[in-house]
Amino acid sequence: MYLSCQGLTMAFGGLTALNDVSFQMEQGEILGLIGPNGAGKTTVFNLLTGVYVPQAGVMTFRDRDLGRLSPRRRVRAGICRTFQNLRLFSGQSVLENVLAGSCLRADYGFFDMVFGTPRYFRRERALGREAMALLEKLDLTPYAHSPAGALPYGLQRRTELARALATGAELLLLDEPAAGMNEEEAEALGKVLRALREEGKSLLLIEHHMSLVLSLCDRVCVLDRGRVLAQGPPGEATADPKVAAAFLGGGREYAGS
Amino acid sequence: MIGRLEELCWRWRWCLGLLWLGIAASLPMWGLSRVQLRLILMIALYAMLGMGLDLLVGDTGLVSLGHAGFYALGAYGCALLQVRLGWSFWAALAGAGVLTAGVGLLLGLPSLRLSGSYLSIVTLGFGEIVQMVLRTWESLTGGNYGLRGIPRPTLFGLELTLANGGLPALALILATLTALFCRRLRRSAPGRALRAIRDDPLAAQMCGIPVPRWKIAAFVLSALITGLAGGFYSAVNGYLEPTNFPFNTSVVILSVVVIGGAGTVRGAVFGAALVQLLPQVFRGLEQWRFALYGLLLVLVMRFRPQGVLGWRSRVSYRLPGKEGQCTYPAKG
Amino acid sequence: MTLSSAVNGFLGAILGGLALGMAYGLIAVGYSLVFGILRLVNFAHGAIYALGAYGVFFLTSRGMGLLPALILAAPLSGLGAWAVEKWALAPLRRRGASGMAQLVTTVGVSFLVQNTLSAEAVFGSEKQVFPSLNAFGSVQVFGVTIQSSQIIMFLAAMGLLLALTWLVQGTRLGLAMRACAQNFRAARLVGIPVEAVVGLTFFLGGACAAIAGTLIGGYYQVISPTMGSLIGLKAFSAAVVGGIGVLHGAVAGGLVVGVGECLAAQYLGSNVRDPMAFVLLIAILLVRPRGLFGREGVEKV
Repeated sequence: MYLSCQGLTMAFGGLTALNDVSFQMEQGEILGLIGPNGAGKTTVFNLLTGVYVPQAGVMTFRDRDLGRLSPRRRVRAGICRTFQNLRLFSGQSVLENVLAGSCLRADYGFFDMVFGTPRYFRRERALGREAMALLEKLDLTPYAHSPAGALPYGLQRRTELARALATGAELLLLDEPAAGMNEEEAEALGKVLRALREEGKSLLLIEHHMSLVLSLCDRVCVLDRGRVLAQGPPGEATADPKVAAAFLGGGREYAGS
Repeated sequence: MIGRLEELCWRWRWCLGLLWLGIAASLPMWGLSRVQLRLILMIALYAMLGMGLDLLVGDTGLVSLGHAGFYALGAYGCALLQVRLGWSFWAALAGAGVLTAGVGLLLGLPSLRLSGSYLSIVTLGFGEIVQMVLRTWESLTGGNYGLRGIPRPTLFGLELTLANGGLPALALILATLTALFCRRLRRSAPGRALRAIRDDPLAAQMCGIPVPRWKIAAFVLSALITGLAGGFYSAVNGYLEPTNFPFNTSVVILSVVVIGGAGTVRGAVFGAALVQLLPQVFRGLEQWRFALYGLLLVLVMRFRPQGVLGWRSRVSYRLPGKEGQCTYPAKG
Repeated sequence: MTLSSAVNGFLGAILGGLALGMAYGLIAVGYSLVFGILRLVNFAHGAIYALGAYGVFFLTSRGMGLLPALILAAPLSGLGAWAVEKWALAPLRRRGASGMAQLVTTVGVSFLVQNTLSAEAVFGSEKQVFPSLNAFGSVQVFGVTIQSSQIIMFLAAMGLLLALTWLVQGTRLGLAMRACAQNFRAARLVGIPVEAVVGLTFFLGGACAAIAGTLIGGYYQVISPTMGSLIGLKAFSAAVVGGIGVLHGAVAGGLVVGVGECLAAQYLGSNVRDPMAFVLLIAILLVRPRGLFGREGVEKV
């Protein structure tokens, strides 16, 4: 199994954010993680990337136990994320942000750097070229040297995606990549994400934009109050009456489009 | 205009470098007075101290208020290795660098648990504790009486002194090497990792940057540079006492970084020149000069909080390498 | 050394440390309140402390009594601290300058004040004799001699700290201060005049520092322009040891540091006295990164 979560449980103080959550993911799949606010979606990301340690449950990626890996090694293993509330290095340029993402692939030693060995220059040049190619692919080239924090929201989201891609990750965890976008922009983002899948990336995405979820995801996993409510193809899962109740009922507000 | 200037500097960087080397090497032949030579030396020394601290403050975003401690360790380490163990100056300088880097490693450890101002306070405490050890361990350091008779460094049998210009030249060389190192670091993956940690440690970690390792590395490098500067200072001064390294020194080093513009070499050089020249310029005002110095700090921060030379580089990021030219044109 | 004299030495160090520590606490609250709201280490605070002591010194040398001089000098020092915030720090905040720029500004202010005090035309850099607090000699408790200056220092500082606690916990002003400390921007949004609250916080801290300067100056009977730098650092350590931003933490930290350094001076030698605050600081921070009474915050991702 590519990515598998079994029985994830996480509580903060008295509040149980996740209760026995299990789901699995195939390679090359786009899996949507949906649910009302406070369902525990971002907590899943935080567990997968090692921000928090789950109280119970097992996570494996390519049959490796993620629980044993430091956050850094998880990125090395090929998992990288974006954030719901953008966390760019906002004073730095877009290019620098992307280059920060590729830091972990700079496989030259300290002395290579100090004495400027050919290996150092070769690797640095390669990283720079890759970063520029990545910007080109995400239509960010005109903004390469602009401070990331000054860009419009949509471009900042794309910069964060570029930074995550620069780590060389093959499984991307995207936390509301279309938040704050209009239909048109969301559509364009969908195209970018599909192109990434064509390249062999797998995507796990949290999204409230239902039209995007329905058109993009192969499967969805619906969370509510820390439990898995339903899983399956988007049409089927969202048709489940329990899901409709969770989204619309209980006086809870649904912040989707 | 600044952008043009930067572009020109970049294009002619090899010529500028050679010119600079010529100036540094020919310093002994310029017939400068002792006071002028000492001033040049102190500016170079403080530029070096500033660049060392800048790796922590400007690049990693960790404010140290205890760099006088590393400075003192480097100075005493270098002096004691010569006086007590009979090492040559150069070996002792290297030894002092290793010693301070090791202590930097230890002081870096709390930075993994503490953040922001808490860490600053621990470094501050470190500086005070170093002073206490220097005072108390009389059998080794001479305590409050100080340590005298530190030999001058020699190069090919020639003693380097202030009068023959050897020490200022050495100061310029050390500062230049430090500047080159800092510049290289900032343009490389380690420098980018440090800046990522400065701007958002969690995001950096999520990008696979080993945050603890780089924080400690920043401490080690910063301590190393400061320790080398200290070792050199011991050779300049010829004697050492604990009061040479008060808390004020830490503050002055921090001012060097912040006045010029954190995270840049030009800022450190400018800050060092300002810190050293101001007391000279205000000499006529005698009793008021340090008060004015404080006022100036306040005014600089008030009107240019990013530092006097703290502009955002207008020249775009360059990929390193032989073709080194401006690979991607700056926007706007 | 006999057993009883050993016990007396120990008790003497503890009692002396408590008196001194209470005064440290009085300085520490100034750091703590400001840090709580602005996340800023106010290095000018030690200079304000010296300024207050010199103000009292000046007035008493003109024939004023100690208490009237203090009543006049404390608010004036508070105004000084307020002016520093108003003219040097608030503009920086409005520009959104980095915390580092603010830190360096306070360092600059401290240089400015200290060196103005030590200019020959003002007071000169030499130490000055300060009127003693020894109103009624000393008393004997269980064979331990306690100076009346220690008693006065302890009681005065404790009274002020109690008053300050009431102010912060029991009044609308205190509520506004706590709101600012919790979330500066939200406090502004709900209509709290945050700039005025910050200014007032500086004023209170400055006035307390001036009173502490008088108490400690009267205890040692000597003042100097640089008296504030070391004690300022110690008091800040005390604030951090107790948990910065927490009022009773500052007092507890002050007592810990005061007693710690008196014990260190008694048993380890006077060289160890001054750095003891920092040894305690590092040791406590390593065990409890937020200090004794500080709250641990959880970062939201």
